[in-house]
Amino acid sequence: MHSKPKHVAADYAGAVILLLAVWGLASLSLNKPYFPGPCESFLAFGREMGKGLWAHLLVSTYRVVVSLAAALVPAVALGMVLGRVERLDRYAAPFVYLTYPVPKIIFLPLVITLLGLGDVSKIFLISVIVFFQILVTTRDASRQVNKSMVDSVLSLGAGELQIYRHVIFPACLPKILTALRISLGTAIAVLFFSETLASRGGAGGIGYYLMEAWARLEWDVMFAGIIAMGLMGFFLYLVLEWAEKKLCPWESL
Amino acid sequence: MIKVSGLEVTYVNKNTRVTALTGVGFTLEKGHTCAIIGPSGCGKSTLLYVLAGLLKHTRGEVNINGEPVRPKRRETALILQDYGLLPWKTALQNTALGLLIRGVPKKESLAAAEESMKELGIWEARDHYPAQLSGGQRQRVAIARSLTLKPDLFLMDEPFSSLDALTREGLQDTLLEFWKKKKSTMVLVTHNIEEAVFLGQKILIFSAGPGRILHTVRNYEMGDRDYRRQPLFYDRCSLVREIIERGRGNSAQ
Repeated sequence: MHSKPKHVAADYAGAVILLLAVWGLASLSLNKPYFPGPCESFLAFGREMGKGLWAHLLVSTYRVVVSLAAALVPAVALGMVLGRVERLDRYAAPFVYLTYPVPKIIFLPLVITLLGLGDVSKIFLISVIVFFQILVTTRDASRQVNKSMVDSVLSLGAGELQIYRHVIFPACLPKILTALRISLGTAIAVLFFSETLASRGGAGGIGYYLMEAWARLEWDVMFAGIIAMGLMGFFLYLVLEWAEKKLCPWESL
Repeated sequence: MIKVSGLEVTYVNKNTRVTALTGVGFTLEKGHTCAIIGPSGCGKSTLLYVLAGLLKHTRGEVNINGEPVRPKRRETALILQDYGLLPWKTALQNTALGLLIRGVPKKESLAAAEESMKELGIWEARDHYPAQLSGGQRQRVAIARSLTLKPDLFLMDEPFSSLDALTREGLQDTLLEFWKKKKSTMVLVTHNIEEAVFLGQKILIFSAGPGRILHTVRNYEMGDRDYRRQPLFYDRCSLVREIIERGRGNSAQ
Protein backbone atom coordinates (compact mmCIF):
# COMPACT_ATOMS: atom_id res chain seq x y z
CA MET A 1 0.00 0.00 0.00
CA HIS A 2 1.79 3.11 1.22
CA SER A 3 5.55 3.13 0.76
CA LYS A 4 7.71 4.35 3.59
CA PRO A 5 9.22 7.65 2.39
CA LYS A 6 12.39 7.31 4.48
CA HIS A 7 13.12 3.92 3.05
CA VAL A 8 12.54 5.14 -0.52
CA ALA A 9 14.82 8.14 0.02
CA ALA A 10 17.58 5.83 1.25
CA ASP A 11 17.12 3.57 -1.80
CA TYR A 12 17.45 6.52 -4.15
CA ALA A 13 20.48 7.92 -2.31
CA GLY A 14 22.11 4.49 -2.64
CA ALA A 15 21.39 4.38 -6.37
CA VAL A 16 22.81 7.90 -6.86
CA ILE A 17 26.01 7.01 -5.01
CA LEU A 18 26.42 3.81 -7.00
CA LEU A 19 25.90 5.57 -10.34
CA LEU A 20 28.39 8.31 -9.40
CA ALA A 21 30.90 5.65 -8.30
CA VAL A 22 30.58 3.83 -11.64
CA TRP A 23 31.07 7.13 -13.48
CA GLY A 24 34.11 7.98 -11.30
CA LEU A 25 35.71 4.57 -11.78
CA ALA A 26 35.12 4.65 -15.55
CA SER A 27 36.68 8.10 -15.73
CA LEU A 28 39.68 7.06 -13.61
CA SER A 29 40.39 3.89 -15.55
CA LEU A 30 40.00 5.61 -18.91
CA ASN A 31 42.10 8.55 -17.75
CA LYS A 32 41.39 10.76 -20.73
CA PRO A 33 40.76 14.54 -20.68
CA TYR A 34 37.47 14.16 -22.63
CA PHE A 35 35.93 12.04 -19.88
CA PRO A 36 36.12 13.95 -16.57
CA GLY A 37 34.86 12.38 -13.33
CA PRO A 38 31.79 13.42 -11.35
CA CYS A 39 33.63 15.81 -8.97
CA GLU A 40 35.18 17.85 -11.72
CA SER A 41 31.96 17.83 -13.75
CA PHE A 42 29.72 18.94 -10.92
CA LEU A 43 32.20 21.69 -9.99
CA ALA A 44 32.05 22.84 -13.59
CA PHE A 45 28.28 22.62 -13.51
CA GLY A 46 28.14 24.88 -10.44
CA ARG A 47 30.57 27.35 -11.98
CA GLU A 48 28.84 27.39 -15.39
CA MET A 49 25.37 27.80 -13.91
CA GLY A 50 26.64 31.09 -12.43
CA LYS A 51 28.03 32.12 -15.82
CA GLY A 52 25.02 31.59 -18.07
CA LEU A 53 24.28 27.89 -18.36
CA TRP A 54 21.09 28.62 -16.45
CA ALA A 55 19.78 30.71 -19.36
CA HIS A 56 20.31 27.79 -21.75
CA LEU A 57 18.70 25.44 -19.25
CA LEU A 58 15.74 27.76 -18.92
CA VAL A 59 15.19 28.11 -22.64
CA SER A 60 15.45 24.35 -23.19
CA THR A 61 13.00 23.62 -20.37
CA TYR A 62 10.65 26.23 -21.77
CA ARG A 63 10.76 24.62 -25.22
CA VAL A 64 10.07 21.12 -23.87
CA VAL A 65 7.21 22.24 -21.63
CA VAL A 66 5.53 24.38 -24.30
CA SER A 67 5.90 21.62 -26.91
CA LEU A 68 4.36 19.00 -24.61
CA ALA A 69 1.49 21.30 -23.68
CA ALA A 70 0.87 22.26 -27.30
CA ALA A 71 0.71 18.59 -28.29
CA LEU A 72 -1.23 17.45 -25.26
CA VAL A 73 -4.39 19.50 -25.63
CA PRO A 74 -5.33 18.68 -29.25
CA ALA A 75 -4.06 15.07 -28.98
CA VAL A 76 -6.17 14.34 -25.90
CA ALA A 77 -9.27 16.02 -27.31
CA LEU A 78 -9.02 14.29 -30.67
CA GLY A 79 -8.00 10.94 -29.14
CA MET A 80 -10.99 10.86 -26.80
CA VAL A 81 -13.42 11.63 -29.62
CA LEU A 82 -11.89 9.10 -32.05
CA GLY A 83 -12.01 6.40 -29.38
CA ARG A 84 -15.66 7.07 -28.68
CA VAL A 85 -17.04 7.80 -32.15
CA GLU A 86 -16.34 4.74 -34.24
CA ARG A 87 -17.50 6.35 -37.48
CA LEU A 88 -14.98 9.17 -37.19
CA ASP A 89 -12.22 6.77 -36.24
CA ARG A 90 -12.84 4.76 -39.41
CA TYR A 91 -11.91 7.82 -41.46
CA ALA A 92 -9.05 8.93 -39.23
CA ALA A 93 -7.43 5.53 -38.60
CA PRO A 94 -5.75 5.20 -42.04
CA PHE A 95 -4.15 8.62 -41.65
CA VAL A 96 -2.92 7.81 -38.17
CA TYR A 97 -1.54 4.43 -39.22
CA LEU A 98 0.23 5.87 -42.24
CA THR A 99 1.74 8.88 -40.48
CA TYR A 100 2.46 7.52 -36.99
CA PRO A 101 5.44 5.28 -37.92
CA VAL A 102 7.12 7.92 -40.09
CA PRO A 103 10.09 9.33 -38.15
CA LYS A 104 9.04 12.96 -38.27
CA ILE A 105 12.53 14.16 -37.35
CA ILE A 106 13.39 13.75 -41.06
CA PHE A 107 11.37 16.88 -41.67
CA LEU A 108 13.75 18.93 -39.52
CA PRO A 109 15.50 20.63 -42.47
CA LEU A 110 12.15 21.48 -44.05
CA VAL A 111 10.71 22.77 -40.75
CA ILE A 112 13.77 24.95 -40.14
CA THR A 113 13.59 26.32 -43.65
CA LEU A 114 9.91 27.13 -43.20
CA LEU A 115 9.87 28.33 -39.61
CA GLY A 116 13.39 29.57 -39.04
CA LEU A 117 16.08 28.90 -36.44
CA GLY A 118 14.14 30.19 -33.42
CA ASP A 119 11.81 28.57 -30.91
CA VAL A 120 8.92 28.03 -33.29
CA SER A 121 10.58 25.40 -35.47
CA LYS A 122 11.74 23.35 -32.49
CA ILE A 123 8.46 23.55 -30.64
CA PHE A 124 6.56 22.67 -33.79
CA LEU A 125 8.65 19.61 -34.54
CA ILE A 126 8.56 18.26 -30.99
CA SER A 127 4.82 18.89 -30.75
CA VAL A 128 4.09 17.01 -33.96
CA ILE A 129 6.12 14.00 -32.84
CA VAL A 130 4.65 13.91 -29.34
CA PHE A 131 1.15 14.62 -30.65
CA PHE A 132 1.00 11.24 -32.37
CA GLN A 133 2.24 9.33 -29.34
CA ILE A 134 -0.39 10.89 -27.08
CA LEU A 135 -3.11 10.68 -29.73
CA VAL A 136 -2.72 6.94 -30.25
CA THR A 137 -2.56 6.20 -26.51
CA THR A 138 -5.58 8.36 -25.72
CA ARG A 139 -7.63 6.93 -28.56
CA ASP A 140 -6.91 3.36 -27.45
CA ALA A 141 -7.72 4.22 -23.82
CA SER A 142 -10.94 5.94 -24.88
CA ARG A 143 -11.95 2.88 -26.94
CA GLN A 144 -11.52 0.63 -23.93
CA VAL A 145 -13.78 2.65 -21.63
CA ASN A 146 -16.39 0.29 -20.27
CA LYS A 147 -19.69 0.69 -22.07
CA SER A 148 -21.75 -0.02 -18.94
CA MET A 149 -20.00 2.85 -17.17
CA VAL A 150 -21.11 5.19 -19.97
CA ASP A 151 -24.63 3.73 -19.86
CA SER A 152 -24.93 4.26 -16.15
CA VAL A 153 -23.96 7.92 -16.47
CA LEU A 154 -26.20 8.31 -19.53
CA SER A 155 -29.08 6.96 -17.49
CA LEU A 156 -28.45 9.75 -14.99
CA GLY A 157 -29.25 12.12 -17.83
CA ALA A 158 -25.74 13.09 -18.89
CA GLY A 159 -25.17 14.85 -22.18
CA GLU A 160 -22.25 14.10 -24.48
CA LEU A 161 -19.98 16.70 -22.87
CA GLN A 162 -20.71 15.36 -19.40
CA ILE A 163 -19.87 11.84 -20.60
CA TYR A 164 -16.45 13.14 -21.62
CA ARG A 165 -16.01 15.07 -18.41
CA HIS A 166 -17.13 12.43 -15.91
CA VAL A 167 -16.29 9.19 -17.71
CA ILE A 168 -14.02 9.30 -20.76
CA PHE A 169 -11.47 11.87 -19.57
CA PRO A 170 -10.85 10.44 -16.08
CA ALA A 171 -10.76 6.92 -17.55
CA CYS A 172 -8.05 8.00 -20.01
CA LEU A 173 -6.13 10.27 -17.64
CA PRO A 174 -3.70 7.71 -16.15
CA LYS A 175 -2.77 6.48 -19.64
CA ILE A 176 -2.43 10.06 -20.90
CA LEU A 177 0.03 10.82 -18.11
CA THR A 178 1.98 7.65 -18.83
CA ALA A 179 2.11 8.62 -22.51
CA LEU A 180 3.31 12.04 -21.47
CA ARG A 181 6.13 10.56 -19.39
CA ILE A 182 7.25 8.40 -22.29
CA SER A 183 6.92 11.34 -24.68
CA LEU A 184 9.11 13.42 -22.39
CA GLY A 185 12.13 11.30 -23.32
CA THR A 186 11.34 11.67 -26.99
CA ALA A 187 10.78 15.40 -26.62
CA ILE A 188 14.16 15.99 -24.96
CA ALA A 189 15.96 13.87 -27.56
CA VAL A 190 14.34 15.79 -30.43
CA LEU A 191 15.04 19.08 -28.67
CA PHE A 192 18.71 18.24 -28.22
CA PHE A 193 19.04 17.26 -31.84
CA SER A 194 17.29 20.36 -33.16
CA GLU A 195 19.25 22.67 -30.81
CA THR A 196 22.58 21.27 -31.93
CA LEU A 197 21.60 21.88 -35.54
CA ALA A 198 19.58 24.99 -35.47
CA SER A 199 20.56 27.49 -32.81
CA ARG A 200 22.59 30.59 -33.32
CA GLY A 201 23.87 32.92 -30.62
CA GLY A 202 22.16 34.09 -27.43
CA ALA A 203 20.44 31.46 -25.34
CA GLY A 204 20.55 28.65 -27.87
CA GLY A 205 19.58 25.97 -25.42
CA ILE A 206 21.59 23.19 -23.86
CA GLY A 207 22.05 21.31 -27.13
CA TYR A 208 23.69 24.40 -28.63
CA TYR A 209 25.71 24.99 -25.43
CA LEU A 210 27.00 21.41 -25.50
CA MET A 211 28.07 21.54 -29.12
CA GLU A 212 29.90 24.82 -28.51
CA ALA A 213 31.77 23.36 -25.54
CA TRP A 214 32.66 20.33 -27.61
CA ALA A 215 33.98 22.50 -30.44
CA ARG A 216 36.17 24.42 -27.95
CA LEU A 217 37.34 21.11 -26.39
CA GLU A 218 36.20 22.34 -22.98
CA TRP A 219 35.37 18.91 -21.67
CA ASP A 220 34.28 19.89 -18.16
CA VAL A 221 31.94 22.54 -19.61
CA MET A 222 30.49 19.92 -21.96
CA PHE A 223 29.84 17.70 -18.97
CA ALA A 224 28.20 20.58 -17.14
CA GLY A 225 25.80 20.73 -20.09
CA ILE A 226 25.23 16.98 -19.92
CA ILE A 227 24.39 17.28 -16.22
CA ALA A 228 22.04 20.18 -16.92
CA MET A 229 20.13 18.23 -19.55
CA GLY A 230 20.00 15.15 -17.33
CA LEU A 231 18.67 17.14 -14.40
CA MET A 232 16.06 18.79 -16.59
CA GLY A 233 14.76 15.39 -17.72
CA PHE A 234 14.79 14.06 -14.19
CA PHE A 235 12.99 17.10 -12.79
CA LEU A 236 10.25 17.05 -15.45
CA TYR A 237 9.81 13.32 -14.94
CA LEU A 238 9.33 13.91 -11.21
CA VAL A 239 6.74 16.60 -11.92
CA LEU A 240 4.76 14.24 -14.14
CA GLU A 241 4.92 11.44 -11.61
CA TRP A 242 3.77 13.81 -8.89
CA ALA A 243 0.93 14.98 -11.14
CA GLU A 244 -0.18 11.41 -11.67
CA LYS A 245 -0.32 10.79 -7.93
CA LYS A 246 -2.22 14.04 -7.35
CA LEU A 247 -4.63 13.73 -10.26
CA CYS A 248 -5.31 9.99 -10.13
CA PRO A 249 -5.50 9.03 -6.44
CA TRP A 250 -7.81 6.09 -7.25
CA GLU A 251 -5.05 4.46 -9.32
CA SER A 252 -2.81 3.72 -6.36
CA LEU A 253 -5.38 2.12 -4.05
CA MET B 1 -47.08 3.10 -15.31
CA ILE B 2 -45.48 0.79 -17.86
CA LYS B 3 -47.27 -0.45 -20.92
CA VAL B 4 -45.41 -2.53 -23.45
CA SER B 5 -47.04 -4.12 -26.47
CA GLY B 6 -45.77 -5.96 -29.53
CA LEU B 7 -42.21 -5.04 -28.63
CA GLU B 8 -39.51 -6.24 -30.99
CA VAL B 9 -35.83 -5.36 -30.69
CA THR B 10 -33.30 -6.32 -33.33
CA TYR B 11 -29.74 -5.18 -33.65
CA VAL B 12 -26.86 -5.79 -36.01
CA ASN B 13 -23.90 -7.67 -34.61
CA LYS B 14 -20.96 -8.35 -36.94
CA ASN B 15 -23.15 -7.94 -40.03
CA THR B 16 -25.85 -10.38 -38.88
CA ARG B 17 -29.23 -9.23 -37.68
CA VAL B 18 -30.01 -10.55 -34.22
CA THR B 19 -33.50 -10.52 -32.78
CA ALA B 20 -33.20 -9.96 -29.05
CA LEU B 21 -36.87 -9.64 -28.18
CA THR B 22 -40.02 -10.44 -30.09
CA GLY B 23 -43.71 -10.03 -29.33
CA VAL B 24 -43.18 -8.84 -25.78
CA GLY B 25 -46.13 -7.26 -24.06
CA PHE B 26 -46.97 -6.55 -20.43
CA THR B 27 -48.28 -3.85 -18.17
CA LEU B 28 -47.15 -2.78 -14.75
CA GLU B 29 -49.22 -0.51 -12.58
CA LYS B 30 -47.84 2.43 -10.68
CA GLY B 31 -46.18 1.40 -7.44
CA HIS B 32 -46.01 -2.26 -8.38
CA THR B 33 -42.95 -4.44 -8.74
CA CYS B 34 -42.05 -6.81 -11.47
CA ALA B 35 -39.22 -9.33 -11.69
CA ILE B 36 -37.91 -10.51 -15.04
CA ILE B 37 -36.21 -13.87 -15.11
CA GLY B 38 -34.97 -16.17 -17.84
CA PRO B 39 -31.89 -17.90 -19.24
CA SER B 40 -28.85 -15.85 -20.20
CA GLY B 41 -29.19 -14.23 -23.57
CA CYS B 42 -32.96 -14.04 -23.39
CA GLY B 43 -32.91 -10.30 -23.86
CA LYS B 44 -34.00 -9.39 -20.35
CA SER B 45 -31.30 -6.74 -20.04
CA THR B 46 -32.25 -5.50 -23.50
CA LEU B 47 -35.79 -4.95 -22.26
CA LEU B 48 -34.49 -2.96 -19.32
CA TYR B 49 -32.32 -0.80 -21.57
CA VAL B 50 -35.36 -0.10 -23.74
CA LEU B 51 -37.35 0.91 -20.66
CA ALA B 52 -34.48 3.16 -19.61
CA GLY B 53 -34.55 4.82 -23.02
CA LEU B 54 -30.95 3.83 -23.72
CA LEU B 55 -31.83 1.49 -26.58
CA LYS B 56 -34.28 2.09 -29.43
CA HIS B 57 -36.82 -0.61 -30.12
CA THR B 58 -37.54 -1.82 -33.63
CA ARG B 59 -41.28 -2.39 -33.41
CA GLY B 60 -44.12 -2.09 -30.95
CA GLU B 61 -45.05 0.41 -28.29
CA VAL B 62 -43.42 1.26 -25.00
CA ASN B 63 -45.22 3.74 -22.79
CA ILE B 64 -44.09 5.04 -19.46
CA ASN B 65 -46.63 7.02 -17.49
CA GLY B 66 -48.75 7.34 -20.62
CA GLU B 67 -45.93 8.79 -22.70
CA PRO B 68 -43.75 7.03 -25.28
CA VAL B 69 -40.42 6.04 -23.73
CA ARG B 70 -37.67 8.60 -24.25
CA PRO B 71 -34.06 8.94 -23.16
CA LYS B 72 -33.19 10.92 -20.04
CA ARG B 73 -36.55 10.69 -18.34
CA ARG B 74 -35.67 12.39 -15.09
CA GLU B 75 -37.70 10.14 -12.80
CA THR B 76 -36.23 6.89 -14.07
CA ALA B 77 -33.33 5.39 -12.10
CA LEU B 78 -31.17 2.61 -13.53
CA ILE B 79 -29.02 0.39 -11.32
CA LEU B 80 -26.54 -1.93 -12.99
CA GLN B 81 -24.70 -5.01 -11.77
CA ASP B 82 -21.18 -3.59 -12.01
CA TYR B 83 -19.59 -0.46 -13.33
CA GLY B 84 -22.46 1.67 -12.13
CA LEU B 85 -20.01 3.63 -10.02
CA LEU B 86 -17.12 5.64 -11.40
CA PRO B 87 -13.78 4.41 -9.99
CA TRP B 88 -12.36 7.96 -9.91
CA LYS B 89 -15.07 9.38 -7.70
CA THR B 90 -15.47 8.80 -3.98
CA ALA B 91 -18.65 7.24 -2.61
CA LEU B 92 -20.00 10.72 -1.85
CA GLN B 93 -19.08 12.12 -5.27
CA ASN B 94 -20.65 9.09 -6.94
CA THR B 95 -23.84 9.53 -4.94
CA ALA B 96 -24.09 13.23 -5.76
CA LEU B 97 -23.31 12.73 -9.45
CA GLY B 98 -26.89 12.15 -10.56
CA LEU B 99 -28.07 15.50 -9.21
CA LEU B 100 -24.95 17.33 -10.43
CA ILE B 101 -25.51 16.04 -13.94
CA ARG B 102 -29.09 17.26 -13.76
CA GLY B 103 -27.81 20.73 -13.01
CA VAL B 104 -28.57 20.85 -9.28
CA PRO B 105 -26.08 23.16 -7.48
CA LYS B 106 -23.19 21.39 -5.83
CA LYS B 107 -24.14 22.24 -2.25
CA GLU B 108 -27.65 20.93 -2.61
CA SER B 109 -26.46 17.81 -4.43
CA LEU B 110 -24.04 16.99 -1.66
CA ALA B 111 -26.67 17.56 1.02
CA ALA B 112 -29.12 15.24 -0.74
CA ALA B 113 -26.35 12.68 -1.20
CA GLU B 114 -25.56 12.83 2.50
CA GLU B 115 -29.17 12.23 3.38
CA SER B 116 -29.61 9.16 1.19
CA MET B 117 -26.20 7.74 2.16
CA LYS B 118 -27.22 7.97 5.80
CA GLU B 119 -30.49 6.24 4.97
CA LEU B 120 -28.54 3.34 3.48
CA GLY B 121 -25.96 3.21 6.25
CA ILE B 122 -22.92 4.05 4.10
CA TRP B 123 -22.21 7.60 5.21
CA GLU B 124 -19.10 6.40 7.06
CA ALA B 125 -17.61 5.22 3.76
CA ARG B 126 -18.19 8.56 1.98
CA ASP B 127 -14.52 9.27 1.29
CA HIS B 128 -13.71 5.81 -0.02
CA TYR B 129 -13.25 5.07 -3.68
CA PRO B 130 -15.30 2.20 -5.13
CA ALA B 131 -12.21 -0.03 -5.11
CA GLN B 132 -12.10 0.36 -1.33
CA LEU B 133 -15.75 -0.63 -0.85
CA SER B 134 -17.19 -4.12 -0.53
CA GLY B 135 -19.59 -5.33 -3.20
CA GLY B 136 -22.54 -4.72 -0.90
CA GLN B 137 -21.42 -1.20 -0.06
CA ARG B 138 -20.97 -0.44 -3.73
CA GLN B 139 -24.54 -1.41 -4.53
CA ARG B 140 -25.73 0.62 -1.55
CA VAL B 141 -23.97 3.65 -3.05
CA ALA B 142 -25.63 2.91 -6.40
CA ILE B 143 -29.02 2.73 -4.68
CA ALA B 144 -28.28 5.88 -2.67
CA ARG B 145 -27.45 7.70 -5.89
CA SER B 146 -30.73 6.69 -7.50
CA LEU B 147 -32.63 7.71 -4.36
CA THR B 148 -31.27 11.26 -4.60
CA LEU B 149 -33.10 11.55 -7.92
CA LYS B 150 -36.43 10.80 -6.23
CA PRO B 151 -37.38 8.39 -9.00
CA ASP B 152 -40.84 6.94 -9.54
CA LEU B 153 -39.42 4.11 -11.63
CA PHE B 154 -36.51 1.90 -10.56
CA LEU B 155 -34.90 -0.27 -13.22
CA MET B 156 -32.39 -2.81 -11.96
CA ASP B 157 -30.20 -5.11 -14.01
CA GLU B 158 -29.06 -8.02 -11.83
CA PRO B 159 -28.09 -5.57 -9.12
CA PHE B 160 -27.02 -8.12 -6.53
CA SER B 161 -25.67 -10.96 -8.63
CA SER B 162 -22.04 -10.45 -7.69
CA LEU B 163 -22.74 -10.47 -3.94
CA ASP B 164 -22.53 -13.31 -1.44
CA ALA B 165 -25.80 -14.83 -0.22
CA LEU B 166 -26.06 -12.96 3.09
CA THR B 167 -25.17 -9.54 1.70
CA ARG B 168 -27.58 -10.18 -1.12
CA GLU B 169 -30.44 -10.95 1.28
CA GLY B 170 -29.60 -7.87 3.33
CA LEU B 171 -29.85 -5.69 0.24
CA GLN B 172 -33.05 -7.39 -0.87
CA ASP B 173 -34.51 -6.48 2.53
CA THR B 174 -33.31 -2.89 2.16
CA LEU B 175 -34.83 -2.67 -1.30
CA LEU B 176 -38.11 -4.11 -0.04
CA GLU B 177 -38.27 -1.54 2.77
CA PHE B 178 -37.63 1.27 0.32
CA TRP B 179 -40.24 0.06 -2.05
CA LYS B 180 -42.80 -0.10 0.75
CA LYS B 181 -41.84 3.36 1.99
CA LYS B 182 -41.53 5.19 -1.33
CA LYS B 183 -44.14 3.31 -3.33
CA SER B 184 -42.13 3.59 -6.52
CA THR B 185 -42.50 1.26 -9.45
CA MET B 186 -39.72 -1.34 -9.73
CA VAL B 187 -38.52 -3.56 -12.54
CA LEU B 188 -35.86 -6.05 -11.52
CA VAL B 189 -33.94 -8.25 -13.93
CA THR B 190 -32.43 -11.25 -12.19
CA HIS B 191 -31.30 -14.79 -12.83
CA ASN B 192 -31.96 -15.74 -9.23
CA ILE B 193 -35.31 -17.45 -8.69
CA GLU B 194 -35.55 -16.65 -4.95
CA GLU B 195 -34.81 -12.99 -5.63
CA ALA B 196 -37.52 -12.84 -8.29
CA VAL B 197 -40.08 -14.39 -5.95
CA PHE B 198 -39.03 -12.27 -2.97
CA LEU B 199 -39.22 -8.94 -4.81
CA GLY B 200 -41.60 -9.36 -7.75
CA GLN B 201 -45.36 -8.97 -7.47
CA LYS B 202 -45.38 -10.05 -11.07
CA ILE B 203 -42.76 -12.46 -12.36
CA LEU B 204 -42.20 -12.45 -16.11
CA ILE B 205 -40.48 -15.61 -17.27
CA PHE B 206 -38.62 -15.23 -20.54
CA SER B 207 -37.64 -17.88 -23.09
CA ALA B 208 -34.17 -18.17 -24.55
CA GLY B 209 -33.38 -15.79 -27.44
CA PRO B 210 -35.18 -14.34 -29.17
CA GLY B 211 -36.79 -13.43 -25.87
CA ARG B 212 -40.52 -13.85 -25.47
CA ILE B 213 -42.59 -13.94 -22.32
CA LEU B 214 -43.27 -17.61 -21.60
CA HIS B 215 -45.40 -17.07 -18.59
CA THR B 216 -46.41 -14.47 -16.02
CA VAL B 217 -46.57 -15.62 -12.40
CA ARG B 218 -48.69 -13.53 -10.06
CA ASN B 219 -47.03 -13.19 -6.69
CA TYR B 220 -48.94 -10.51 -4.83
CA GLU B 221 -48.36 -12.18 -1.47
CA MET B 222 -44.82 -10.84 -1.36
CA GLY B 223 -43.95 -7.72 0.60
CA ASP B 224 -42.75 -9.04 3.92
CA ARG B 225 -39.27 -10.00 5.08
CA ASP B 226 -40.63 -13.26 6.47
CA TYR B 227 -41.99 -14.26 3.11
CA ARG B 228 -38.67 -16.03 2.54
CA ARG B 229 -39.52 -18.54 5.27
CA GLN B 230 -43.09 -19.27 4.27
CA PRO B 231 -44.22 -22.45 2.45
CA LEU B 232 -45.91 -20.36 -0.25
CA PHE B 233 -42.52 -18.82 -1.07
CA TYR B 234 -41.05 -22.27 -1.70
CA ASP B 235 -44.05 -23.27 -3.80
CA ARG B 236 -43.67 -20.16 -5.95
CA CYS B 237 -39.98 -20.78 -6.37
CA SER B 238 -40.64 -24.36 -7.51
CA LEU B 239 -43.30 -23.15 -9.91
CA VAL B 240 -40.97 -20.58 -11.47
CA ARG B 241 -38.17 -23.14 -11.69
CA GLU B 242 -40.48 -25.60 -13.39
CA ILE B 243 -41.61 -23.10 -15.99
CA ILE B 244 -38.03 -22.07 -16.75
CA GLU B 245 -36.95 -25.69 -17.14
CA ARG B 246 -39.91 -26.52 -19.33
CA GLY B 247 -39.08 -23.53 -21.52
CA ARG B 248 -35.51 -24.67 -21.80
CA GLY B 249 -36.68 -28.20 -22.77
CA ASN B 250 -38.88 -26.78 -25.51
CA SER B 251 -36.18 -24.72 -27.06
CA ALA B 252 -33.76 -27.68 -26.92
CA GLN B 253 -36.05 -29.86 -29.02
